[in-house]
Amino acid sequence: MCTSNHSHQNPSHFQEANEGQVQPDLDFDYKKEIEGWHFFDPHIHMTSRTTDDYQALADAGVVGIIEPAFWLGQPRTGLSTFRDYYNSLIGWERFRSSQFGIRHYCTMGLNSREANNEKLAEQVMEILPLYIYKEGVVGVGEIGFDDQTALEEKYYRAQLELAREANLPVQVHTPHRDKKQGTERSMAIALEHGIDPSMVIIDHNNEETVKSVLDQGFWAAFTIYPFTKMGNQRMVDIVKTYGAERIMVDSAADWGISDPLAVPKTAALMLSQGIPREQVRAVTFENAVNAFATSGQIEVDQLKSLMEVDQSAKFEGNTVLRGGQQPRIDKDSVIIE
Amino acid sequence: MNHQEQLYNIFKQNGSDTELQWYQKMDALDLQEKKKGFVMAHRHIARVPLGEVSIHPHDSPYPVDLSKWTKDQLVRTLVLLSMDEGDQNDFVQVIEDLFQTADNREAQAIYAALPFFNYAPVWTQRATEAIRSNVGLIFDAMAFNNPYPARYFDDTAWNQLVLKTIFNDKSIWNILGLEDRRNQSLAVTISDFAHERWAAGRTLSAEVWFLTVPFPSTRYWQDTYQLLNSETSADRNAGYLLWKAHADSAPENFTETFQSLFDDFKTQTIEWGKLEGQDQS
Repeated sequence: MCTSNHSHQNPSHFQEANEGQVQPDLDFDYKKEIEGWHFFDPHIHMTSRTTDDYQALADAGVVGIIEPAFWLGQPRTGLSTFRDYYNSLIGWERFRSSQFGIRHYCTMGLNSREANNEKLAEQVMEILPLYIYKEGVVGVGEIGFDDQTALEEKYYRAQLELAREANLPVQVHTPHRDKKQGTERSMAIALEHGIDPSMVIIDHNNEETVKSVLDQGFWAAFTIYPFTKMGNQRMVDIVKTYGAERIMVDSAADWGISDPLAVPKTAALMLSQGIPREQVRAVTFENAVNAFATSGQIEVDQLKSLMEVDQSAKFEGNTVLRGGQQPRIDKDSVIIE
Repeated sequence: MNHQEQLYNIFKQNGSDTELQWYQKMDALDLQEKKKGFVMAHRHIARVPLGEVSIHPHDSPYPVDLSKWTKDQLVRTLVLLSMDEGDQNDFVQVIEDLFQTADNREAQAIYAALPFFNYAPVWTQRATEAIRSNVGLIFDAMAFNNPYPARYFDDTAWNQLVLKTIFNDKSIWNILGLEDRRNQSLAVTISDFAHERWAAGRTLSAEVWFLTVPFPSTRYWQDTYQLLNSETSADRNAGYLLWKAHADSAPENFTETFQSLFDDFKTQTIEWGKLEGQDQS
């Protein structure tokens, strides 16, 4: 629709097609839009983020996150580095997160890229069972296909079996290339292993994959990640089309150009464009919590009660380092005390 | 009664039928399965505090206060003790495997269990790793309510433990054996550290001066003088206690200088552990 501000402009060729759509006001203050809201990001790689990001997440209302085990941008050279990485997900990273009042959970798995190193993959598969039963491990993930090689399939299947034995949800990474077929194949194999689709979260969906994922009863996660995955305006349209059932939003923020605030920002955009509040809440908090709570490792009540988050609360009965939450620093001050 | 029996009795008093059954079933399994049981205990045993009870591990003079443990931690300790089948090397390897894959609460349980193990001195190096940890949970498990450091740490490791406690603004009174393990070198470092904080315009708990009491050097009296002139009452209280401990050998005119202050102090109850009104842990 033309607004009075734009009446002096010539009509765009596409104006008719845009009619009825709300144009996003790019200057609006998204933080105001989501004031008092709380969010859960079910896919974010915090080991590659700074404390500034943790602070920003906490400020934006993110109260819980899931960190899927992935690769580190380059292939690891041995078992020890795998073990140390897994240890960081259940150790240091969990502690770091707790300092900002954020619940940190993780999924454990052998990622698809490194599944292609068979010798190392075998060793990783041997220690994996020790990790999937740990506290706060809410699933096996992120696993699935990258290049869709035979070895990727072998270890995807092996890990589906692990998840089935442990009765844990599966977080599936779908490939960047040949995504549509890769996604179909991932789902078909999970069903072949007798896994209930309600225990599987298919991640990195887009407009082309979402229908089939939902139709088959799987959870559909959308990664809001600049340039390569979903943009959040597209996400708004997805929810307008498909509703909120079994849909969730994540950031997958990692060591690449990505945005850890993707979930709160997307919530703000949805609210500003008239998506009903309960739908926004479902796709930015509840669905993800419910999907992974089948692991028995999410304290759902506690998480939901974090609505009234007490900044001085201690986590894990933990006397947090230096006796309290990380003290805030004034980023704009030149004086460092 | 050995520790396993003692701890099991406590578990029996605190555990539900389902919890006891899970443990008994798991206890009958082989070593590999028990390792998994150690990890999985959190899924089957409630994470609730135990009642008021304490135990002296291996006749330690310092009791472990089990009311500061949780029930799943107690069961993890039982699983650990049950994996000692009599061969030291085997047991050390099992513990090493578990350390290598431990999450924070598993590490907490192992560190707190060390004083109950046979061949306990074997883990001295490992125990100092907990003191190097920046994870509060892990540091606390070794440093506090644990008789292991007082018994097995040398002075260097012991002093690091005490200093890191102070550095992180935690209460030194959580450390077992604190009084007995005071030493000259620690006293000097405490004084240095206090001066460093003062120079930076920061403060530190007045309780730390307790560590210097047995070592009345020239410096001791200089620090006492400074504390007695402090603006905070906790510092003045500490200064008073330092003076009182060695009043007979105080430097010339020292006592006279603060006589009126001391007369006032004598009407109050001032003791270590209560300088700041309450224990700050």
